Amino acid sequence: MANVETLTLDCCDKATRDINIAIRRAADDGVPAVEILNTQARHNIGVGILKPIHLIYRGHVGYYTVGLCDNVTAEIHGSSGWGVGDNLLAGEVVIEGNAASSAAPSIRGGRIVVKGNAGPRAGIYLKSGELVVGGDAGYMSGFMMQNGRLIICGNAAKGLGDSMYQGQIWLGGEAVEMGSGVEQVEPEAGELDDVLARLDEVKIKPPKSFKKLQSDRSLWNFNKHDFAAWKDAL
Amino acid sequence: MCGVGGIFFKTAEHGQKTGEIAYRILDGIFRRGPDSTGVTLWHANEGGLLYVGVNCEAPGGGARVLELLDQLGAVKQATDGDGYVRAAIQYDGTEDDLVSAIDALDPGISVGSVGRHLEVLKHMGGVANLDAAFDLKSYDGRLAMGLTRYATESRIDFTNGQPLTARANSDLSVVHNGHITNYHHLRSSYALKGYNFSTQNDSEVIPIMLIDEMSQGATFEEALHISIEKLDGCFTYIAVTGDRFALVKDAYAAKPQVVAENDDFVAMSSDPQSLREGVLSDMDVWEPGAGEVHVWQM
Repeated sequence: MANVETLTLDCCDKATRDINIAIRRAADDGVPAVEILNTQARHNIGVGILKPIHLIYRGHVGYYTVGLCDNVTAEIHGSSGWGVGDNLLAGEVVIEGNAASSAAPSIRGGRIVVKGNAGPRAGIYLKSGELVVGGDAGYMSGFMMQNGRLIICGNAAKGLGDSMYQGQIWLGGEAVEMGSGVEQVEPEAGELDDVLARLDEVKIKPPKSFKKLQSDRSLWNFNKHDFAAWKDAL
Repeated sequence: MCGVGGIFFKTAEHGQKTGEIAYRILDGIFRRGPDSTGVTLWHANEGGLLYVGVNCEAPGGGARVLELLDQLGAVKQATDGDGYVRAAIQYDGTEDDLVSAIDALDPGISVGSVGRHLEVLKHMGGVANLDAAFDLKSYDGRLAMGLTRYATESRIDFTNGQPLTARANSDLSVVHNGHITNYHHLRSSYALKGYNFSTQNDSEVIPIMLIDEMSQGATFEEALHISIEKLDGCFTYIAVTGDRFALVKDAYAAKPQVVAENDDFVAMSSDPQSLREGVLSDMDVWEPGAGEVHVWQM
């Protein structure tokens, strides 16, 4: 949380580029944290930060918040627009409210935590790292995920995990309809405990039970004799 | 790309001016669509007027339209916005006859909308141009829903600008963000049924489809659900009628839209930042999901 070493940055009357430059300079100077005020759902605030720093957003944020960052931690005291944490390499982003479409797109490491609901395509193209959703997740969440872990405590809309290659989806509620190439499997020893420990760590109440979902590998290789499966896949 | 959004007040009493809020929301989504801006306004219309909007691509067309309207009925208000004429007239004939008479003036002149409650305004460029021509900010009625256009399928001009309507079928207006990929097929099938298309814009098929479904007995809400099945492509659209309006999203949730609602109003926009700039509040918003239809009664 905020302390004397925290830099306070008011977004009012500042260009997006100037805000990002100020955050980048603070990271370069070893400032541990930046408190960002009057975010007013503006887009691209806190983008391209490649040195460790902690960002505290006081309010709702727009698109691509904490996008293209490495080793950045952030708390967002509001809801986020599309693509929060885009391509994160390492670090953690906690969204206290809801996240719009494509939360944590193609992240390669670190963790994105959405305490509320996530919109369509949450965890799209997840390459590694983790997306935790405290509430429900929207249409085609986990679409084409390649690795990593997607935890959804609530329900999921249609197409959950569609065309996923690898990685795990943990679903607390029900999916309206599963995506293509997804199967439910029995968790291996210790896996569920690890998920529950993670929820405890990020202070999200776990659901009564979890299903573990993963790729059934049916879409890994094209088989012309199985053309019907491909026709239905997309 | 395009941006769609606007504001609806649940009662006639409200603090901020509707037109000013709509101005700020549309200004905030200018970056999504710099080609042209349009808005649908709702009027209580206790005087029984007919609101007419006419695209005048032909030079000097505005004067000819005003002259004709003067012959057809009693013109109560009219503005020649240099490319688009808005008028409120006392008119006793049928909407069909009015549309035919105006369209017959010149190939470069065509009716954009007629309405007992709905009025459509359009202009090139951003909302500042629209306001300069038609004084959007002074509007203080209950609903203003508009669009900033990023043209992809048809010319950048008044005729192809949105909102689009089914013209003689008054009081239905649509603003659409997206692309209807089976437009040509749908347009041919509706043209065969006798529907008259007046633009080259793919979005025009949406109001025609809704009118067609409702003429076959579907309710407004049913027609909206049918449109999700029949339209191919990606779309988020707002449809407004004389007594309700709706937000419709395609089955893939491909186009953004956020909504903010409280006891006083429902505001929506393609962009959360523009929405907050519009209502001057950092209120929380929600994003409708794939294939959802939301209808609000006026």
